[in-house]
Amino acid sequence: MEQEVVKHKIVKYSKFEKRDFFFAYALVAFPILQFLVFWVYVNASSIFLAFQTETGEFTLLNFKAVFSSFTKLDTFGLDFGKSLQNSMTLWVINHLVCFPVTVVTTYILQRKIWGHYLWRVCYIIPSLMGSVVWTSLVKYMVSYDGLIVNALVSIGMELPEMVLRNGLFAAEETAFPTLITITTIMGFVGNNAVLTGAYSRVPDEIFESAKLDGAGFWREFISIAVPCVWPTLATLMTFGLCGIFTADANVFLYSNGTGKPGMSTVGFHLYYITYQISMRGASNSAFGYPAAIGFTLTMMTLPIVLIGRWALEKMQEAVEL
Amino acid sequence: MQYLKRMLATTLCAVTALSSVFALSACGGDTSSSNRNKGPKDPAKTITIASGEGGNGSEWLYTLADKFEKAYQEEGYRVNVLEPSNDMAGTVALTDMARGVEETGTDMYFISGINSVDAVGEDGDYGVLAEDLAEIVFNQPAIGYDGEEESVLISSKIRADRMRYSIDKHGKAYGFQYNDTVSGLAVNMKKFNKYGLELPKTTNEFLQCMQTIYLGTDTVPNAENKKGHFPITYVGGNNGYVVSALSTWMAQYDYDAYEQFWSMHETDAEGNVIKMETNGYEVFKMKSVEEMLTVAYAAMDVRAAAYGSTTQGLDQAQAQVMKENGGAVMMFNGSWMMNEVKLNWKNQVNDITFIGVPVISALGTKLMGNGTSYNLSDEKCDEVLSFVIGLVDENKEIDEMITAVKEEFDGLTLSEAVVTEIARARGFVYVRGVEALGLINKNTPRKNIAALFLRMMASEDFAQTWYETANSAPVYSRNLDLSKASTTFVREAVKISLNKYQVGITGPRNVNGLRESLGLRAIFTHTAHIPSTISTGAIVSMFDGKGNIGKDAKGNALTVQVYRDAAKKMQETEYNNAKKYWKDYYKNAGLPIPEGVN
Repeated sequence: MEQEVVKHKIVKYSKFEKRDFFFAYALVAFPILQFLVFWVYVNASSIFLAFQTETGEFTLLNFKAVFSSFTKLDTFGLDFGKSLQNSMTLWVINHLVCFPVTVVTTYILQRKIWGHYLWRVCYIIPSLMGSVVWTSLVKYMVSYDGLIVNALVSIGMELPEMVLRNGLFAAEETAFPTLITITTIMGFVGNNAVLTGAYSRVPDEIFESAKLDGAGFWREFISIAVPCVWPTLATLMTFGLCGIFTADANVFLYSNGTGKPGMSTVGFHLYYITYQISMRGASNSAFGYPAAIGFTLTMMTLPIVLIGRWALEKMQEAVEL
Repeated sequence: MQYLKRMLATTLCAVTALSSVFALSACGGDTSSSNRNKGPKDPAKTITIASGEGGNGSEWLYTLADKFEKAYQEEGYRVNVLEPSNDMAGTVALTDMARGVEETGTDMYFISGINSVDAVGEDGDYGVLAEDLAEIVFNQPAIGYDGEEESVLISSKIRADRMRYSIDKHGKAYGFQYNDTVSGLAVNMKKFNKYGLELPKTTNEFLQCMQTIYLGTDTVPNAENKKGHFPITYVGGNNGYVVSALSTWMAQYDYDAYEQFWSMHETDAEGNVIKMETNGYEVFKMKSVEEMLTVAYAAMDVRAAAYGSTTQGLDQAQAQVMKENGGAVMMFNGSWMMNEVKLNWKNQVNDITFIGVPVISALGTKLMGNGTSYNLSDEKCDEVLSFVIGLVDENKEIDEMITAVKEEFDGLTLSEAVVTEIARARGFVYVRGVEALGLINKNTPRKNIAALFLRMMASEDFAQTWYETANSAPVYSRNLDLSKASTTFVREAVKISLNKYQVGITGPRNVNGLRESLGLRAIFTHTAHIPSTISTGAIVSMFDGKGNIGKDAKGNALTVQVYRDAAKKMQETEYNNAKKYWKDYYKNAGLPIPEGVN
């Protein structure tokens, strides 16, 4: 008891320390408040909405509507199944194709190959551009008189008439493949900055030592680089799993807010329904249907994320540098 | 080195501090800096106005503020106009109003983007936000720039079809209408005149114009040739400009059916209004819907539209019409277009003119064609229809029109009912101006001064100011000196607004009755946006895409029947879907499912 009193006496903050202490608390308080309002409250409110009718009574009708929309058009005339399929396709390409390629290419650039500065600039610029600027640029490139269509025509490729008149985003046959291509390109550059930072933390001495032991380029990559940056890779992959149904791939901007022809993704779909309801001037509880979609998707994503995270942690032990 | 570093740091600090000071002074400084009137202001006698900018600019507001201060110099009333901003619209404006006059200091708003005046009334998300204008404005006479009252009440200066948009569901007149816009077609006359055509008054004439422009003439090559022009262009995506035309065509063909379409109410043999609770989807089967869709398919024909039309934005679409070479000759737009193009195309603003939405030709055959006592051929029906429309545009009386038809068409005597129906159809104008409202903030201590300001806005003097500065038609006057228009486009657009047969319609804003309860606000339930569905779907065209009329599998020339076939298909799909999901609409709306609905 006596000792405790003594301890209390020892831990005595100076005026400056107290000021720092309050300052630190004030800094943390704002994000916490923001979290409580914009995450806890918003999500709780959405969950309640999912179980309410427009008049506020408890119901499971919103979920029935969600499940039926997997196979047939919903009452907004939208094909949720198609949006889900598009989102899954984009996710698979982004995370199972682009991400591994980015991990490798960033490593190659990190090893300072010839012209690596130029390549790095080329990689970084698109990720620095705002999505509106980037999409405008892309829309121009794939327009009927843009670079891409002209190039395809000049190499003798037969394009649908709709493409020749209105560009690659106008025809059902080419709109989604174009979106996939653009997403793939952006996927290659997307995580470059983060991975560059992670690779640069790996001490050169480790690679030099491996070299002395006779390790080649790929051996260094697989046995040294990847384990050293594994925590970063695992975090990025976990984030990827979280966004499995929510990434909209800028469909709103590419399709002038319509999701047509055939470009709708889940992220866009949710936006579109919410917008349509808000345009109806309905009460807040009318948002039950999109809230139920969100809730259903969360329930679907949650086990994927938890299992994925567990698997990623099991796959490789973190390396302390 | 140390010195240099210190110098650099000091300079950076100074630059940062100065830029912050300037930036902050711009943010929170004197909000009245934009007001042209100088001198001390008494807060109790100064009204503060927040305004959106929109397509009509803000010159009118400053002009009126000057006139108001001058008229009330003795009383010391002043106006503080906050910097107009495009953000001051819709939900942003409502949120600002909800903060209350004590916090914002704003007494009055001129805003757009509000779906209905109900949003500021009892049914709005924030409850009542505005003052009822019935006694303090509408039941008072307007006030001229000299401060004198006019002889009539403001309520008698506004048409009933506009006044309904000022009043909420509970009968409170919260909104002050001030902008009479018109939807229609912008036409580049410099290009149009090359083809020796006359401006279309009916949809058949419109389609004929499209055909001629697409195919070209002896002197102008076809549209696919770089030296030719495409007949039409439009804004891609979910733009509303073509939707305005769709609603207008439906109203023109059969206004009673149009009302039924937007309410899902029908009238029985005894004249009782009945909700179509078990079969509301039947409205999608109406003849007016088929006729509207047929014209829509023709007007949106991807091959007749300038390259890039289905994916372009508003500025690009307007550029297609404004540019001299290539591009398009016509575009669905509205009277507000002048303010949008005058900045970038100031040397070309006199190249364009404005025409109302052509009257649907099917109306002519319905009134005068096969099966009627006139039994005229389709061509003759359109000819007569076009002739009568010309007379309507000249503001002729019904009996004058009957006489003129008799003289022009070898004794053809149209009944008063037929001519009235045509005049009525021509008069239907899709009005987007109802979205713009003047509102007095609830509980402002300066509401009487704000009311005086609105009363001055309803004056004949302000009507002319509005016309000359906002390039649009006023709501409270039809006595304008049209010669003072800034361009032909503005004059022609305003002429449509001033026509005595004009009646404003608002399409999806007109949703009421059962349809409103079910939340079915778009024209169709399963085709959220008809124009974008047509322009992004499979190509439907009577042209071959190479500058000629297309041919079917048997080698026969295609006709407008291709558009009708596609229209019927879309209508059938919509009808079947609406029928299939009828029960779901009740469920989604949280309404009890009526007996007999499966």
